[in-house]
Amino acid sequence: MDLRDAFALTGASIRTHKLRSVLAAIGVVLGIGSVIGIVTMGAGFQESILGSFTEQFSADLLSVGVEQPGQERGPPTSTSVFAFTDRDLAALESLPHVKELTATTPVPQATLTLEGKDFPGVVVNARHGSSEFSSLESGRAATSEFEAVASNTTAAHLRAALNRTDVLGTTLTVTWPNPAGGVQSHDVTLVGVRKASTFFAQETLSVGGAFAPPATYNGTATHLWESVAIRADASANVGAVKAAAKDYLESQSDAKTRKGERLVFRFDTQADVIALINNAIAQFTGFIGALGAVALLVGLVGIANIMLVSVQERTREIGVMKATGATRGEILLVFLVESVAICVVGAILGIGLGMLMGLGLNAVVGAFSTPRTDVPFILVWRWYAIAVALGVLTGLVAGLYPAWRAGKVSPVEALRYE
Amino acid sequence: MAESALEARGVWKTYHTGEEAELHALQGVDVRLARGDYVALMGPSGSGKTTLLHLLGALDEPTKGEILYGGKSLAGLSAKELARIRGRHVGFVFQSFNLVPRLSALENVMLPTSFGSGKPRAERKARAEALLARVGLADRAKHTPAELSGGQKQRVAIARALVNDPAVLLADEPTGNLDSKTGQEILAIFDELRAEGRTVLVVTHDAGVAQRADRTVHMKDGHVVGTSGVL
Repeated sequence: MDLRDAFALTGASIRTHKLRSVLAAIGVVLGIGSVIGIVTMGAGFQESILGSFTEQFSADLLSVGVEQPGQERGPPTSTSVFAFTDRDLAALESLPHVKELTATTPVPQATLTLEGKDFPGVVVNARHGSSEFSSLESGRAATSEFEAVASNTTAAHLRAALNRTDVLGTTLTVTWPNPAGGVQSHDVTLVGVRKASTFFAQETLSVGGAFAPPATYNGTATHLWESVAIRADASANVGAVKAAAKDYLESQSDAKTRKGERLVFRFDTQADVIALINNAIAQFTGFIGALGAVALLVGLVGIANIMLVSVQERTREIGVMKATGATRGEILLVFLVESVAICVVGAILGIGLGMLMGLGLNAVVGAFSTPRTDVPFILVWRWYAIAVALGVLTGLVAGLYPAWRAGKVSPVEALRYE
Repeated sequence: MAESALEARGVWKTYHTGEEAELHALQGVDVRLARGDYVALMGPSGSGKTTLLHLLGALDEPTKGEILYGGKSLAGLSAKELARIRGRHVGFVFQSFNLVPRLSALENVMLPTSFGSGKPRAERKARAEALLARVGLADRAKHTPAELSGGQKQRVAIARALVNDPAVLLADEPTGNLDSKTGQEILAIFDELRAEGRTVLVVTHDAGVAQRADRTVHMKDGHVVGTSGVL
């Protein structure tokens, strides 16, 4: 018997029992649909997050800080250890493949005053030009020590406080303790607002080097820095820059001595962060995908049930097929083809449904995220192939027992069957 | 006597109807059909004639004794080999037609060619069309059984029985569900088949049907009780 003969019989059977076949397929459609829907959303979500990442800082960036050994990976947090000196910065800047370098450090106990009132926000002392390291939402980079760039959350606080949409040009007063006693203060002008970034602390105002407390190290006057960001000349060279920086920092740097034995250097590249996010999303989609697999299992039981009914109903037909020369194997094939056909059609419809579900979930996830984002629609080809393969597998598993029963039917009894 | 086409030799068929109860549907039956024989099998209900037909058609296996095709015993053949015997050497015609309701007349006729035949589909289809034309139903090829009259259904069933060109045709009350005029038309086709040299066995309890056969084997309570007609 060739497959075309089996398909002819199957087609006739499915046509005659349209409703029943459709109901049987619905289980598979829903199972495959939910898996594809979740995977589509996961892929879109991933693309959306990674997309905004790439926008915030390109893959050519390496961030260096110090941390407790074994600390959880995540966005850098302030350790209040100002390990890096100006000498370290100069040495790092001269490494091969380094295009530019910046460093930041919080100004200890600095307060911000706006029109005589205290204003929340951490003042970060940034090395000249550092704001160029993250894309600006509005305004420009600071070009003098008394110009400031705010994080987008700090800018939002400002807008609320001033009840204005445009806060560029606002003058704030920074007050910080004078190591010699008392306090000193200076006005700064807001010239730019940064886009949201996970690399920089959330509520910050970056100001020029004049606010850093004067310090000396090994008898030399220097600034002290908490973290360093290095841009490589190409993203492919970030690894090389990281290796060279690690090599320098762990052998000849001032930071090595300053951080002490207890702390270790941490190196973050975008690759690390991307891996972190991918991992989190994979866990999430895996979990929801497992729920889809349960739906698929329900579909499988449904198909098996329908096929058993079909075998029962077609007992006489099986008798006729046997009387006209069908072997057990050929009867088995006829029923397996029917079961697999229903499941494969179900899988294909499920892929369509899953795409629609993905679109819907993308819209919902986008609408509920802050800030509102457009989650892109991604075609997950690999999963479509997996879905069809799952459909074939489901059809085989669900059809095997009913088909085996059909093959076993005694022709004499089948012909007597009413 | 001509060469044996189909033979039952000392055949018993016993059904276990309960723990101890046994029903002997056939009790040592001997029947021999020569090539080209046209034989009627008559007897009251429960005499075992349909059981014998099933055994002769390799649909079932005897409890004792053996069935021979062209002198060769079917005993010990695998289920697959028996299926191929049914497909190639025997054509069945049933009282209730047993057409597959979902399939068209043409598809029903083609059905036996789907199994184990290595012939291309186009060739098998042409053969089925020719047979439908032969039984006068060329214009009904696309109709489903529900759209056909009883006589037309039986013609489709005969075309199906002939599609693999079997030497033996086994019919179980082929006119039982038909009015007498239509029945006569069906029997006329059997006459033609016999004239072609096929071996025909018809189970019936209609003496009018049996009359057209060369001889009639009478059965009662699982035994052959006599043979009438020309030997």
